[in-house]
Amino acid sequence: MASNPTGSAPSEEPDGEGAPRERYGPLALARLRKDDGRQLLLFSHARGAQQAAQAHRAQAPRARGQQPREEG
Amino acid sequence: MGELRFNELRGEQVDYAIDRQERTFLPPRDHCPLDATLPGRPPTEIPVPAFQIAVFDNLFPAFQAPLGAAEVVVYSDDHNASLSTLPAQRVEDLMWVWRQRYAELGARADVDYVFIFENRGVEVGVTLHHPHGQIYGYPFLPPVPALELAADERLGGCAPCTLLARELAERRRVLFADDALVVYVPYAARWAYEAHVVLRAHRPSLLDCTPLELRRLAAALQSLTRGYDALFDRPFPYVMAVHQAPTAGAAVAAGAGAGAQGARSPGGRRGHLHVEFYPPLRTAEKLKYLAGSEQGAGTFISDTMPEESAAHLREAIARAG
Repeated sequence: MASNPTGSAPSEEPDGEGAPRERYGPLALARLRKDDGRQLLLFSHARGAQQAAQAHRAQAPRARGQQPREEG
Repeated sequence: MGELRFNELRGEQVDYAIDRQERTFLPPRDHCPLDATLPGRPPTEIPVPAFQIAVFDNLFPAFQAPLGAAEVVVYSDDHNASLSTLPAQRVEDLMWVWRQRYAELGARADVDYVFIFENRGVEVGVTLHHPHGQIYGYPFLPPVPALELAADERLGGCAPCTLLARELAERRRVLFADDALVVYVPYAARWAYEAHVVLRAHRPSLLDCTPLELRRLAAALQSLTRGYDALFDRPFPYVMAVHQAPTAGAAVAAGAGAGAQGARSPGGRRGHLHVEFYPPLRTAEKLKYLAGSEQGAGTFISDTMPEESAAHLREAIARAG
């Protein structure tokens, strides 16, 4: 982004889909693009996202894509 | 691409978004486009197996760049949840999502007003039951927020501040209050169970709120919607409208240097963040329709007094806990 009107802080931390994460207040934000070009933003509570990322890294590759649904 | 036409008799814009005629309409439970995409299942709008809050460009937009925006905000991957039943932390997070979208959309030169809203229930035209709201970025200032700004002029200051003071002085229509906000049925409510959630402090937008105020706002929205559900012991339909400061001309003002904690409304001090609920039910089974007087003359005819509705709602909110 040329400017950052939201005050989001870019981060190196990748999310489960490989997109870079930004931080916004208590949230982690991953910016993705859908196949048809529309934007998709995934917000997660930063603490929960960190735990999810750790769990993701700990998972065997064969299990990825079958992780349990997060609390919702 | 839609088309805007100005209705001279009404003095208002009409948006022709004819592609929306084909939008998904009450799909079967196992074809919800707002669910997460599970392994082995057809892809939905959200191509991940689990998520907390997702925002995406509406596939059937009422507005789109370079003349506005239309986004969908999915509150949860739990298809059966609602604003009233989500965990408190999730709703607090939703306030931050709203705030981020207000800032980002409001900074666009083609967005003059960021409108966050939720339609709940088929009674108000919901086409997808999965818990979600929407955000429209209008390329003009719509009539309702314009009327609120006109009320500021008429009252010689911030209208929501003035009206809040009156409600607190009279107390009869106040549903509940805390140190950050007050929830009340307004003196001249149009809908039987209309309620307004109003920040005590003059906060033009979510960008001006402290983290504690965002938490209080989330809690108030949940208390009110739980009370609504308890009122007639059924999921209560409503339109929820978040009113904030206009963002016209905000492309630079909201820009660089505004940290997430230190951002401020791009529109200056005009506007006062509040959330209005318009429920169409006037009894457990009867809907209020907008008929001759409301549509043809612009005058609401109400079957209930706001003070009586407030008493009923207070009891329901107490029952809901």
